[in-house]
Amino acid sequence: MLELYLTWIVVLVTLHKQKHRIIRRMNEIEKLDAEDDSSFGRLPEDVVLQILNKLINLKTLCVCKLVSKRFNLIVSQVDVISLTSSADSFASPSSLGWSAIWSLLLFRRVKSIRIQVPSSFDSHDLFKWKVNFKISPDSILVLSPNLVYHKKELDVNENNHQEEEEIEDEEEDMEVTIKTFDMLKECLKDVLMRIELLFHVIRLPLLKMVSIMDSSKRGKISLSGAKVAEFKSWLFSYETMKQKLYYLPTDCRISECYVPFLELPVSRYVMKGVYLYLLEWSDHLPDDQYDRFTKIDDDFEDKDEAAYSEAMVEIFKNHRGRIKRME
Amino acid sequence: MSSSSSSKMIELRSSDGETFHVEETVVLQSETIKQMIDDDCANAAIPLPNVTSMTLAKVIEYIKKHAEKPKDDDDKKVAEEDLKKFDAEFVKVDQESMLFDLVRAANYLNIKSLLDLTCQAVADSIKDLSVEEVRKKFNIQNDFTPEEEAKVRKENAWAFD
Repeated sequence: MLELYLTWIVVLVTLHKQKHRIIRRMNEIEKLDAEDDSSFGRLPEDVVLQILNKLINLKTLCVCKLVSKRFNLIVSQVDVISLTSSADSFASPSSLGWSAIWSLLLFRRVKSIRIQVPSSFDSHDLFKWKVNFKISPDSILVLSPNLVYHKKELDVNENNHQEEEEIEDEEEDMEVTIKTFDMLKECLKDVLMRIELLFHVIRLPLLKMVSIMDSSKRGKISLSGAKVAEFKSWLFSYETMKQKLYYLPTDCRISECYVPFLELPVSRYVMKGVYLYLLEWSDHLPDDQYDRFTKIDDDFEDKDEAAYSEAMVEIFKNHRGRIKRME
Repeated sequence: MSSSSSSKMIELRSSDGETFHVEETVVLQSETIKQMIDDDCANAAIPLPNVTSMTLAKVIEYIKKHAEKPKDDDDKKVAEEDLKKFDAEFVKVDQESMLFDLVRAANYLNIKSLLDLTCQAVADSIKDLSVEEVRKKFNIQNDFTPEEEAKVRKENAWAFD
């Protein structure tokens, strides 16, 4: 009986506390009303943060920093940011692209960053390239089909630069090679720029995800989770970043592969006249290790990217015999 | 558990004293009210002293719509599309203050999807505005000293071109 009685008291006390908690919360909100009648003034900080966290665009976030002290304080805590750099180059650390990066680094709580840099290539070209990572970036893959279409949609994209024919002429062969080298060199330059960007961005203490690509979604570098930390230690393990950057391109290996026809079962794309180039510069180049390119990663922006990724995997799986090393 | 019958009605009272009757299954989308029901605090009308009847009516319209269950898989797709359209229309309110009232109500009642939706709508209305436009639109006082303002402006100069 006594036990029952005690339980009853406990229930009453709990209810009483509950009621007070609710009343307290109501009072808090009412107090906010009295302080400031601006629409944002009546919102608690966590809700304002929730709103500002949806802005994502770095430029808009920077605008918010200047609105008021409260805005400045709250906006500095957002955790997702994306930056689209317009035509301004990242050529020198004083250029416009970089000053955006410097302001990005002031958001110390950011966890996820997406940077879009200007493209070095004609956006109509069908080729795409991506950067491969183990711990550090060690190679790039370029895929350049002459014709791409989706089996169902039938919207055919054709490359405008050259008619696909078997290349027999030696002179023509040379020309293509030079063109390829130029393209790869341009890609490599972009990789270096991305690494330099990462070098700064990776210092953000809470960073969990970062991706960099150009406006045509080419040359994507994407790091998340443990890879961010691994890459961070790689970056800092080198005496100076610059030294490494200039050292990179001198010691590399290029492989080429031509596949006339590729049908992709998953994305349902068809590609014709497909060139694949692999440029590797890792310190210890394995003799013949393509297996690591046969894993599909699932980090896609859109179905185009998924199709290109699938095509690369397809080539390393089923057309390995066609891959030849270039001198 | 107290929710044995689906037709049980819960009574809500707005700040201006109007009462609303809502099915328990619908109102459970509010974590705050769910907590009250679980704690058996919902036998009488639940007072919501900081939600006006106008806002509460909108909130109820939202949770009712979101409580609808599609009959089959075909229906599900249609229902999803329909819900998207409803959400888009729902946040198109005549007055800015109404949107903020909804944010506050969603936060207080702890209805996550509604808070998400309304916060996104507010965020969308900030996009593409200049600093002065943001201050004016939301009636925010610039409380920076000229020196402080100059410093912030300098750090983010590229954004103000």
